[in-house]
Amino acid sequence: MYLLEAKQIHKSFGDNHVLKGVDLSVEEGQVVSIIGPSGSGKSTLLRCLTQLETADAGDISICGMTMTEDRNGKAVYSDKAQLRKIMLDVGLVFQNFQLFPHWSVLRNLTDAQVRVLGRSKQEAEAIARDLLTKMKLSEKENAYPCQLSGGQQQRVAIARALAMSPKILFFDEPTSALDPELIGEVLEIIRELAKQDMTMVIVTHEMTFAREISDKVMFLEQGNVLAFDSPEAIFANASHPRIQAFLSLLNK
Amino acid sequence: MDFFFDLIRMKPETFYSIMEQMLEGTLQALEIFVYTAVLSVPLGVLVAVLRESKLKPVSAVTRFYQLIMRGTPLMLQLMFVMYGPYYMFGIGMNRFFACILAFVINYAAYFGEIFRAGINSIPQGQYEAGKVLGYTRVQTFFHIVLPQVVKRVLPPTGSEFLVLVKDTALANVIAQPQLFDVAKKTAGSTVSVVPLIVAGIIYLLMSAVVEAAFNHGERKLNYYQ
Ligand SMILES: Nc1ncnc2c1ncn2[C@@H]1O[C@H](COP(=O)(O)OP(=O)(O)OP(=O)(O)O)[C@@H](O)[C@H]1O
Ligand SMILES: [Mg+2]
Repeated sequence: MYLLEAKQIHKSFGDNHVLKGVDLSVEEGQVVSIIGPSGSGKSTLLRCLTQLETADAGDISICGMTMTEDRNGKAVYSDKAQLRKIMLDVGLVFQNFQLFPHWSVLRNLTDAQVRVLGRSKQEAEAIARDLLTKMKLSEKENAYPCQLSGGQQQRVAIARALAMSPKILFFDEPTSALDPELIGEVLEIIRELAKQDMTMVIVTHEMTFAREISDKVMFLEQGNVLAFDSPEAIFANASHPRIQAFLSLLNK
Repeated sequence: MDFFFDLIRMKPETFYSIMEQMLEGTLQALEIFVYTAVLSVPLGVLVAVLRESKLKPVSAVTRFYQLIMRGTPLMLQLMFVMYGPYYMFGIGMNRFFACILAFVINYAAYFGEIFRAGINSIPQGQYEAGKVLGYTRVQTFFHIVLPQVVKRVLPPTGSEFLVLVKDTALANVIAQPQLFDVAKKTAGSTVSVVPLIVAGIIYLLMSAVVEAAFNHGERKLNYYQ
């Protein structure tokens, strides 16, 4: 069963046609990586799928719920209630964390559980503490985001997203804002989630990581999907000269 | 004690009578201060929100209002609110009401600008993080954005409050009784500088209290960033 199905997504900013008919389907438990040059539309795609941008045309459905349907080349969005339901099944981890600076780590993890999902404070805290243990951050629950390293902040951000029990988790370059020595600890967490069959869509520039973790890799260039294939096919096979060029450029 | 009254060349009865009037004037000045502060801050939030409205006429009108309030003397505005309705329509205004009204609409314009800058300084990503976690727009504004705005606008808001302490003296132009009015009259009647000095000390004390309160607030919000 597909947890995410997107067909022929188009998105323009003014005259700038950023997404030119992107298809993406993700099965339950799959990890899909999206790679491609800067400005190719990776973030825009993710933002359309997480409702931070509205697509101009195309179909998107998540967890069997229709988010938008294409009618005569125009994306027609579902009603507010449905969109909200979809939103609650979706988690997003930002490049620059976007933790709430005025709240402690624990409150960052519990507030939405209580206020949005209506869980009790005790339940929310139990879930939060459990996640913090998994993130090896138990002793930081009373710290404020500004007191944490970038790697720790990103792990808190991942925990904050997981606390809402999403069915699918999106990452937009989760390690790009981190110092090199802190990247490993965040990738380790994502690896762990993959082992637990978390469905994930990850935009990343970490090619070794993408290759190792992904079930499928999408290569996006100038708003077109150049390839959507197994990591072996993308990385080892020379059948995509453009991809090879991109990868060799990265390895320099 | 006699030495003190010799020094200021004033009879004790006169001095005590002046002090009594000063106390009265201080309370009246505080009244203007408190009413203005309590009413202009929420109105300032509204001004900030209207100014950022996507409806062009709304933001244009708000901007025009702010231009007038910040571009003309408060003294003139006091005169206008107090006597304008009478000159134009023969409507007599209650003095205290006119005084508060003029202060509030003036200060709300300044606070509107401070709060607008504060709201705009919160990164878009905070709204997006709120949205993706399922918060409604109202929840995101009040629980995530506004607390961070409060921290950022506290110092400039404190400065405005300090100005307001001293601006209460401007109520003099519409003969609204308060500390400055008392100081001026008693200085004239006793031909002495003492009432002026006493009034100065009282203004200074009030300012010191306001400043200390805001410093305390800033320190309490220092736990992050
Ligand atoms: N809000 C916006 N308004 C206008 N143009 C935008 C907006 N967001 C993105 N764009 C444009 O869309 C194009 C794709 O940007 P996008 O951020 O999706 O690329 P990306 O693949 O994520 O790049 P990077 O690897 O640098 O993050 C760019 O040309 C960018 O300038
Ligand atoms: Mg990007």
